[in-house]
Amino acid sequence: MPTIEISLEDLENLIGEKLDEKKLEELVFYIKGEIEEIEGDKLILELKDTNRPELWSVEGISIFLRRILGKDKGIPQIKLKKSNLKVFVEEVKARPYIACGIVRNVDIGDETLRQLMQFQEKIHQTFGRNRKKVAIGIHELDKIKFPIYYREELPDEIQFVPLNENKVMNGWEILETEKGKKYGDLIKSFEKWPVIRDSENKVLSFPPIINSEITGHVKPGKKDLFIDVTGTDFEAVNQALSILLLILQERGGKPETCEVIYKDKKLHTPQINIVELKVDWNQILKWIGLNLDKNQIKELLEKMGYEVKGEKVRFPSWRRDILGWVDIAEDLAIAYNYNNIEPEEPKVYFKGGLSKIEEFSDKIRNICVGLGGQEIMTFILTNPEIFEKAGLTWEREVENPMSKNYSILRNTLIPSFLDFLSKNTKARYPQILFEDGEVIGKKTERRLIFGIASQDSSFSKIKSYLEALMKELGKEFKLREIRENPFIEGRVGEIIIGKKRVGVIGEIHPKFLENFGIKMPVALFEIVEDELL
Amino acid sequence: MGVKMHPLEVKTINALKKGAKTIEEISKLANLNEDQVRKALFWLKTKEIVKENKIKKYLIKLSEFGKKYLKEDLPEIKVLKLNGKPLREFGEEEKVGFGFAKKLGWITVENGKLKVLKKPKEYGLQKLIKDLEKEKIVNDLDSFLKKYNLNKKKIKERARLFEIEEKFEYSYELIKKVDVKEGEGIGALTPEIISSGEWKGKKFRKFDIHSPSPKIYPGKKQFYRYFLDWVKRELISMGFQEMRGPLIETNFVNCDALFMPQDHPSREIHDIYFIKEPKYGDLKEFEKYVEKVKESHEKYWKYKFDLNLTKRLILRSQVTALSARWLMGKVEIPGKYFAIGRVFRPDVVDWKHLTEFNQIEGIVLDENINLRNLLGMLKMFAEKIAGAKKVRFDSGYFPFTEPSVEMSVYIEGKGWTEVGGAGIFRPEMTKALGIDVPVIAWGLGIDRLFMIKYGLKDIRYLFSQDLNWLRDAKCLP
Repeated sequence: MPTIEISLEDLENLIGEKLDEKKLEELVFYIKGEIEEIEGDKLILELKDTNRPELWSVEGISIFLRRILGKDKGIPQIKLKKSNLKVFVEEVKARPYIACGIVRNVDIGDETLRQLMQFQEKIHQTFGRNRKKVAIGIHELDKIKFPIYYREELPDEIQFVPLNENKVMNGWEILETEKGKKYGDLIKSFEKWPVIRDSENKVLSFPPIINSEITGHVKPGKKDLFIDVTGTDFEAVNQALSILLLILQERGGKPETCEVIYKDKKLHTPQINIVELKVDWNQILKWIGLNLDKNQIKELLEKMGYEVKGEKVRFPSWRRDILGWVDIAEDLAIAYNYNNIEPEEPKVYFKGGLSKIEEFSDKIRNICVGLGGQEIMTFILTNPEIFEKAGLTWEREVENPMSKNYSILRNTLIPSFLDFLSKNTKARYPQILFEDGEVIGKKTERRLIFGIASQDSSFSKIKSYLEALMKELGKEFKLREIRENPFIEGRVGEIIIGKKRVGVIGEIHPKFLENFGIKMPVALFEIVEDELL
Repeated sequence: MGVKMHPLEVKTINALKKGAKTIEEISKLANLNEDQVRKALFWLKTKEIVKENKIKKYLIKLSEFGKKYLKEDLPEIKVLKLNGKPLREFGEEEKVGFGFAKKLGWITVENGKLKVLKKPKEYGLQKLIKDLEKEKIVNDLDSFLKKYNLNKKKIKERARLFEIEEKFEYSYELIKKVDVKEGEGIGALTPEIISSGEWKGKKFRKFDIHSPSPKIYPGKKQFYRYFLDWVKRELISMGFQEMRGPLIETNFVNCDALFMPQDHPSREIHDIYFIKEPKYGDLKEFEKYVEKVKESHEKYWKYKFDLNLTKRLILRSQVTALSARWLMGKVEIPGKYFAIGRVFRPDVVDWKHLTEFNQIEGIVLDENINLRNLLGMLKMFAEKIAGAKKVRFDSGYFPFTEPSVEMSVYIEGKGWTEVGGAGIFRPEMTKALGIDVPVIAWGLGIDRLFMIKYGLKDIRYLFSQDLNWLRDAKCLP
């Protein structure tokens, strides 16, 4: 979900209307945007839709907002001419696809250039999967001699002055630069690397790393631009190029196609056509719960950049976010504005209830409160140190923790309980505490821990509590001697129901109390609630 | 003027009048146990009849290491017997002794050998050690040490030998002239007094009903769980059935079944924790859906679905995973289901973020359910759960819903706040899971909502590890 910064004045000029904060807040609804900040001329917007790259630029936004304001309607058209300039493509294993286009007579001012750079950056990051799927290069057309060639070459053979450098560097050297280090992984493992050269054999671009200084240094002024888009997904590459041309057309440029000639096919890029989708209006109206007539539907969808002809909805092929009729339904509802729809509670009758384990644990928690316990809540994702302090081991851990404090999954509530006690040695005793929570052993389990830290805490005392709890639950249990951390040997037992172990009870050994800095005797029991259900 | 007092107070005052100053002294003189004396002093302090003085005293004793020198001479004394010994033959302790003795001016070095200059008749430090066979408590450390020709600085240099603790001693004095009269009549009512009938014809002494009583802490639910329990009851009363599921899920349930493409920026809407070992789980439970989900992904997202990646084990990152799990064969139509559960996302923990938190999710399945109903449901939650009078709906984007909605609410005194996202599940998703009717889904950021409603400024309070804070926290609503 990219965030972009635009100039309010620029936006107002492109739309053709002055906008105050209130109006802006209303308008961003229609482009799935959210205003992060307005300061003077600076407007920072978050665009929520990751499938609508055309909205990540001020030009794209103004195209759609003009329609909302009634200054325009229907499909945003790109008036494409054929340039007949050719691009010959050989096999490039690292990134097989290329689409190229031209825009003549663009007025490149400072703001336009800034927006262009920002748009490129946003496309590269998310949409382009960090330049893997899509990488864009923008050049000054008059510096290029056509036809041009897209091929792969040995790293040593690629030699040119990269953008913003002042000496010739080869492929290897370029990979040592900042951009090279960042994106080099995309081509490093291949024997040969992608390069675009013109008929004078000079390098235009070394995708996806960097353009050349000669062609890629676009200076302000009225320009003819050449755009190359390379990548691993042709549809995405084509879409990016289409949108770029749309944007530059907004800045007064005249877009043209290039002829891209692959080994097995040739095509004029960008490939843009009008898609026609047949819909069932009843189905759509039922989905959003609105009663609209054909005229209303037509008017609303034209505001969103569509054309409606009877049962057919028409939109440009770069609207790849539209997978089916539900996408049309959403745009129709957005045009109507959700806040204009009268909400109606659903009349669905269904019997509500808690899951069995939740009901059971509620019962257990109420009994624990009745026994005078203060409930606590600790994390499931926790620190291995507390397990080590308690002399216990865990089973599962995460591969990508952000910090050691949250790196392993607890399989018992005991260490967090002792950790809690260690943080409260200055609070009044007795401390009668319990926690009902989930742990992850071989599978997810629900457990209860109940413990007492006090001067007179003992096995006998905690056993009374266990018996009281079990009696209320109507469960008969036995104890079986065992040896286990962190308990005192001879003062610990397994809690057995039937033939199964359902828990453990005992006094905590002072060597573990010491690890936690606890100076009061502690006795506790832990039971697995799922086993008691 | 006679003041009616509790017998404990009377005895305590009398002991103070007789010159007792500390709890120990009062206890002996008044023939009471220390707890009784403390209680009485507390009441008397509150009534400003007694004043408490805090005196700092010092407990000085030998450390384990220091005790060694009860039976032996200190190293600097021992070294005086080594006149003429070459320095390079000195052992560890002898070197230590050499250092101290040189500082005291007792010895020097000549031709690499020890030369004793003078032998002291008395050595204060050694005497102090002997006297500290039993620990001592002194009022003034400086004047105590002076007796041994020592001071705090010199003791610090030999800190290894001693343990010095500051202790506070409390003493009490009467500050108001009181004429005490023990109230007449029965004091504490005991079973013996009841059975014996001793109480007949006697009066009951008046208690000071305003005097403070010891604080007790009731058994209590954790304050945030109390709120979550309440939310659950509200949802049940609206006819929602609870869904539950495991914390460790496969990519299939957590993302792929929700129609989130495997290789798409929308997958990075949030990050996910991967399980270290084992890395992969099995999809036996959802066998019959895997193929359909794969087909749906390949048809609409146009890429090759990775059957291995879908089995990767992760920590549940959204409660919508539970909706996916239940839609695959566990739901009835029509049906209303909800879940409140823990989810995990890699994040730096600070006042605004946790790496483990709670989410709430609900779905409604019915042939005739639509966007209008979704908005109605959201508005109802805003009123019932957030207590908000005004709501605002914004457009949004989630890969698995279309349309997608975001809701903000206006809470009195707190302003507008975003509370959640919702939408109608895409048919491309639900059909692959075997569901043929529309399904509306909503999720509220319940942690944030609670914080805003009750004015908590730091999300970490929800999992507070401070027992005092928990004991005092109000359970709301």
